[in-house]
Amino acid sequence: MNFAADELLAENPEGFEGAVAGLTLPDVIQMNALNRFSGCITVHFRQRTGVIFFRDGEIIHAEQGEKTGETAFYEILQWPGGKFNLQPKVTTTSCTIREGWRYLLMEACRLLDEQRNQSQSARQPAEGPASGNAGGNGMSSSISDRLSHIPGVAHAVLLSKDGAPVGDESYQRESLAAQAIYVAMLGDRIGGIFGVGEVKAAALSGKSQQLLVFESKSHYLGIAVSGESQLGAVEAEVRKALSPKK
Amino acid sequence: MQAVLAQINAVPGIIGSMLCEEDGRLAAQLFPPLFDASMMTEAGLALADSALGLQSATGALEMIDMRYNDARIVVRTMPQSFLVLLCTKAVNMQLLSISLNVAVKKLEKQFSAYKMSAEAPAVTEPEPVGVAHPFPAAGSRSGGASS
Repeated sequence: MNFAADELLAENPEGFEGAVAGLTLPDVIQMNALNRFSGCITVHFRQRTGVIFFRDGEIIHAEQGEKTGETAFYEILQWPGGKFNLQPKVTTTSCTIREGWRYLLMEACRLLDEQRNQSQSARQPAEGPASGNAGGNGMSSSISDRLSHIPGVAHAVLLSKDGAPVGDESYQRESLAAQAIYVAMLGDRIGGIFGVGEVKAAALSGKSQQLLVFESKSHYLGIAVSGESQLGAVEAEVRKALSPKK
Repeated sequence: MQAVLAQINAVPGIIGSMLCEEDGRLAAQLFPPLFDASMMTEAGLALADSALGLQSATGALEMIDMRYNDARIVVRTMPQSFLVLLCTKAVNMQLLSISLNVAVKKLEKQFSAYKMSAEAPAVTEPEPVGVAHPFPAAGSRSGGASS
């Protein structure tokens, strides 16, 4: 972390310290945002420390380990508990977060729900056919499980934005991850040229294999679809399987 | 080819279309004036750069459909060329697909004719050589150098 939270505390004794038990971190953030707080919240959970900076009630920067910005913010908010210190008037020159606090909190809750759903379904015994990725971590294998029963889906891989597959790194999954990141990069490049931004999803039809790529906040999902399947129909099934159950 | 691109652009939701060669060179385009040719050349080059990788991923690439927040970019492969369409998010893909099946056939023919004419060696008419007739016809005011 490029911001030493302990030094910060020592230098700025003003503020208060408390535990997050009973009062959730989103509650604390919401209160500070509504009070147009300027300063920082340092959150400690086990060996980890995260810092969230506010300016006039808006969240402008977050740090957690090597991560900064929204990624760090969402990670801090996924901690199940911890201690926090509130330090008013502590500021930073970094401004890595541009979204409003309401959006950030809602997105954090959505990610938390997603994570809970995934860990729940990962705990449930797989009822369908084996997906061939039992070695993957919870999130990745859970998604593969959900998609494996869809006719036409050959295999799926969850990958980070830099193209590394999450979980099991078999050759098949690494290869699919490489293809997915390749398509995403092309989509971003062409989107940039035409001024339409980053690609959110892509579908490639081919003779021997077809490919679906979906973008999320911090990952891509690559799905290999057999060449003879109707790509549109498979995509509709995938979207249905991935949409949160009500 | 412009006429076929105009027909494609007539499908509701299509903003513009372009045809580029497999090496990325722009063959034809029909975009609103806001989109300049350099953007299309750049897009063509991006596709040309990625073509080989995409071919190996899919066996033989037929179509790429890329979705963005407010737009959709569809790339349809043709022999030695790519047809690129910039569409609104709400474009009717079924209607577009049917229209493209017809348009692509026409474009293929026209593109191969365009390629042949581009590749054919330039035949230049020999300069007419002035022949000095020693005895120009009476009343003739042309046809040679007068001495």
